[in-house]
Amino acid sequence: MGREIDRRDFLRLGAGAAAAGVAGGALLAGPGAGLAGAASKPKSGGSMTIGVEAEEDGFDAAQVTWDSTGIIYARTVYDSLAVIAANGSVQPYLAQSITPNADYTQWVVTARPNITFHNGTPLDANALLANAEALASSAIVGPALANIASVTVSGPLSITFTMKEPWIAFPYGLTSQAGMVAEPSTLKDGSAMQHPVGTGPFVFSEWVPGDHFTATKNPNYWQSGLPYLDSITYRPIVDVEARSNSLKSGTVQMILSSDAQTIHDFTGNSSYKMITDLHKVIGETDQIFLMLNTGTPPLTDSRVRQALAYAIDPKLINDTIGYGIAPLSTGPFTQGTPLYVPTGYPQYNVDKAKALVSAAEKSLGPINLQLGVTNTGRNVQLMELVQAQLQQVGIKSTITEVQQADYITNALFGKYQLYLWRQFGTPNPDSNYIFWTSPTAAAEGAPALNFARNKDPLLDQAMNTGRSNPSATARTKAYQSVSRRFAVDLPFLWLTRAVWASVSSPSVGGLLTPKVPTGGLAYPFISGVFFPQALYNS
Amino acid sequence: MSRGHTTAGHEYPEIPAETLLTVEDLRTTFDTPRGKLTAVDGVSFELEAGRTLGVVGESGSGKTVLSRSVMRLLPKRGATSTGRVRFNGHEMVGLTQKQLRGIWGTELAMVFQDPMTSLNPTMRIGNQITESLRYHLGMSSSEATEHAVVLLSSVGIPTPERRLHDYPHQLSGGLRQRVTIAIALACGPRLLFADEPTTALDVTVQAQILDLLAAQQRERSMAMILVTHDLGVVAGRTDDIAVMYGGKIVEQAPTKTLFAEMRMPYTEALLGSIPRADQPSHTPLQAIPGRPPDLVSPPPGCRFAPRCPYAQPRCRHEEPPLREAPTKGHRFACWFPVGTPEGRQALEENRVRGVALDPARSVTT
Amino acid sequence: MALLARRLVQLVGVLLVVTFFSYLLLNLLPGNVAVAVLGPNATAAGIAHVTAELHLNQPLPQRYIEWLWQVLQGNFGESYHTHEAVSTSLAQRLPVTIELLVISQILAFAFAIPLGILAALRPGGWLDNISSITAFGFLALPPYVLGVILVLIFAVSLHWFPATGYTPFLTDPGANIHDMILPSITLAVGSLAVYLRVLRAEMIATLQEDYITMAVAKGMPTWRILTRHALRPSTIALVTVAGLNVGALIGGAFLVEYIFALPGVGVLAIESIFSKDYLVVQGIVVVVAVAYVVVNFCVDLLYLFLDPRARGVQTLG
Repeated sequence: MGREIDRRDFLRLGAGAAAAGVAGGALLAGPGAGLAGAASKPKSGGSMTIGVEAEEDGFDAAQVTWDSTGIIYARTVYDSLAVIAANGSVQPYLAQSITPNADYTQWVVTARPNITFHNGTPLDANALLANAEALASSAIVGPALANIASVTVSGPLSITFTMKEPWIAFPYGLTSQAGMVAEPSTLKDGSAMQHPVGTGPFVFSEWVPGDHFTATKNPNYWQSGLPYLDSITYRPIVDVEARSNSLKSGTVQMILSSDAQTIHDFTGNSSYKMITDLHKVIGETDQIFLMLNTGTPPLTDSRVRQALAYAIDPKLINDTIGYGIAPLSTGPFTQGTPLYVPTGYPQYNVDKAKALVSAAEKSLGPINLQLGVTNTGRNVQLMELVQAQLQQVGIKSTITEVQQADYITNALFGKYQLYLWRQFGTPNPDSNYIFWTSPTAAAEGAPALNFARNKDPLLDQAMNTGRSNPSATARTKAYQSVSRRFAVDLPFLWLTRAVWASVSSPSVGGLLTPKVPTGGLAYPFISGVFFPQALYNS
Repeated sequence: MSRGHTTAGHEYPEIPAETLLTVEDLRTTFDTPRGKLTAVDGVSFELEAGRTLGVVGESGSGKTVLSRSVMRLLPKRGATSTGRVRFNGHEMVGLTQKQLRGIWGTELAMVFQDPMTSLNPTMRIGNQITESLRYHLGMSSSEATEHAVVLLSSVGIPTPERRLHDYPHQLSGGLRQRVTIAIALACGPRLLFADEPTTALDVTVQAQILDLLAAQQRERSMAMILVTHDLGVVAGRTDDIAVMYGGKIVEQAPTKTLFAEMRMPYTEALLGSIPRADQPSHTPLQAIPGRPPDLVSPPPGCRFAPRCPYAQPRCRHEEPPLREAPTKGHRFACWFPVGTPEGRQALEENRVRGVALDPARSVTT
Repeated sequence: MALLARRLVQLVGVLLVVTFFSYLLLNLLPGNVAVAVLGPNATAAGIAHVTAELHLNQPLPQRYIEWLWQVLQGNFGESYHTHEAVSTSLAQRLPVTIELLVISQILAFAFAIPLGILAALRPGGWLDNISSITAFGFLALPPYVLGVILVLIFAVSLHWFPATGYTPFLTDPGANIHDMILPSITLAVGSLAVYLRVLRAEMIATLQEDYITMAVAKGMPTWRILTRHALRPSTIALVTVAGLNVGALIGGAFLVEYIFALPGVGVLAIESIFSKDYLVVQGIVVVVAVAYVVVNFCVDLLYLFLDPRARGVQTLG
């Protein structure tokens, strides 16, 4: 599971940037530049304030869904059981080991010895069990863990997860929300929401929702020498412009953003250090795409979906809305990652689109589509471009602006035709199992996590292979065929992938050099999430 | 005893023939979209200390502008006033606002037409009286209050201590005008302008207020200029009367002389237009046919000629000068004066011709 | 006292009407609260569970009455998302919004009154012209544009003030004021422009009044005439406008909070509406309605102070 989409992602979808707008031009981008940034020596002490995109609902992993900011908050006070290493593999972190049985139906997770929570409670098997049980029974997180049959204590520091079906990708989930370990009593009495207690690099100090969250250095942190900072403060600044200005005015020393505007603003500005995830991606970033409800006419007709795919010019949209630099997508996997293959996704072709439209209209009558979008400036602009391109091939459409909170509800219940969407970023595509396979594709009116309601037996089969085949090669092949199936089924009209950036004053370092305790580097900056313990301000 | 009383009572005993106010060739113009409007056109007169002058004329005759011009209370912009105004040793024309403030209230005061609007609705009566006492005479708060009580009772306001705390709206019109008189009298001025002080009041109250003004004027041997459209108001209450028409004084005489030997047909017409008791108090002066002259481009000759039953061709071309009558202190401006053979002849000729008395025709001139 | 009683009755009426309609409107909005709470992993079972837990399946009037009953006992409920008591959130955020409103209004009046007086003293003079043009300019400038401009100049370029953020007054009064200056100015400017224009027009009219000429004829100095004689009668309209402005001002404050990332009620309201956190929204509606009625009660009291004629005491002599 790991980091799924959540309410705030949809809000951010609304926040405009997200949509094809996310571009990057700038890079610090190249790994070389990243290493150059890392060259300055880490310095202990000092404090930092970081501007983040949105406020969170709380710190209890079982009660809320975290977006990138939530994961950063969590990484500040908690540790995850596993992390993704720079080479893309999953490495134990707070866990000493994460071991499967031969057929991946059982996973044993063992905690590191001699670690205590901030309040002195020892980290042991019971603590792990309490966290696992809270998550599995959670109405919010539980559905993604539905494959877990039971969790039992199997040693003083070990618990054993027993799966219903083999689950190879399971440890990926432990790198994010489901891997954070809270002090067990705070989960029971509900205080974890407001006053988290973890084993993490920083000790919770103060949280004023909407204003700031401050944590101070954990002097007994199990990784000696870390964290570097004496205290760290996060300030949710929702407005993109205000966030940039806060950095420029020195109110904060670092900001995080998934907005093209921010990247564009700071491109070529040598007074600041910008790090984007443009240069290299481990796992998969969010994709920005037009989501089609394949369960509702006329989109049930594959000719119509093909016509739409031919009619849309992602490059034009990206150039117009997103400063033209975000990588275009032709499938769920980003170019440069192991799972990427050319998918055969239809290339922009007005003539083909027109031919398909007139063919389809012979049996369906005139095609008239409802385009849905959240009501913010650039999203609407983007959809207007889409509308114009559809018009060009003879498809009439109307744009409906939808309130942000209703967007996801409409998608869930299938009450839409074409939505601008952002989703699918994950360390491992198995997390998207519930969003892509047919068991979760209900008819309109019933909740279905397969929002596009795409049912494809070949795709289901590939996803199952990805989930349970022990052979890595077989899994890779399976996922590659998934991306090809999408190009045939066309539930999603791909635009670009999402890009995240961190911009900071030059004195800030460490973002690119988080370490895995077993040696080597952890994957530093994924979907806007970093390791607070690695951060320093010299 | 406060200075206000001594000023009026002792420092200036009744010295006869001391000239308090000299006005020479006073001319006041206003800029209007149509051009320069000459509201006061070369007015000259004198006023001795302790004497009263009635200034009478229809609305638009320039009498109110005359009093504002003498006081130098004209609007800052759009108004020009030239000539000479010598008051109590001050050359008023050319004084700065600051210098004028030293004269206003203390030496020169004014009672306005409508006590409904001339009192500040948001200030207590007490404060409106005491502020000038404190500002001009440097009295302490308690001194000023004490003095205000004396003032209020001297203008005939019952239970003055209580009234100090009232707001204007809590008083009747008559009481309010008594209050404005008290305010005007507060610092013991040597000259009081009363601009239509009773026009806005009930008929039954009018005489009381006029009597009060007359009594105060006598008691304080203060000079007073009573501006009114109503000859009846000034009849028994002023020493002299100046009749204004079209921005000029057209006749001036001691009151008795004026009524006995009026020379100016306009004065005669005004006398005929005194409101009678059976008419409401605000009935406009319809009795004189026609309307006042346009002061932006006044007619040549006598300005009253178009409405004058005596008017002859000469009147329409040649302006009559203000000339001395046989009786001392009597001046008038007319070619065919009332009560003279010329006048009678002119009136007779007109009657024969059947012109000029026709109001409809004179209006259209 | 009669006024107070009348206002109290009015307050109760306003509260009932406003809260009922906001309850109704929120619930008429499309979308599903349970889905908003559960997020994208919502399953049919999860939705049913949350719906039952939050009593969302009960009829609307019943829910409203239950909510009202709880509120009467001082219980505003808790957030669907953060599970924090609504009263706690409000207590935390109200001071920020109130401070923003109060400082901005103090600023607006502090500049509008002297400028309005001076502009009226010489209508068409240079000061009047400059202040009129500036006021119209500011009126045409929405707060979010002005806020961004102020931030770019005074925070980004000059580093005089922070671009965003808030320090509680009790933590550090100096820093608190420092943080509040730009947001307060941003919010004040619109009010300032309106107040300036209203006061100027009223002052010009007042200065034509006989009682002003009377005061001049009394030899009162200009400053005293302006401040003691002309100002008070002229402020009656100003107070009316300020009272009516409260609604717009609260809306403006919400926007300013967003721009400057202040942890006020406005940001909470926006977030709560988007996330269908209805109990929080209802709590805010109650607070805003109470504030509106209280402010207008104060305006009524001010009338009584400013205009003796409104006091209804008629004692004819």
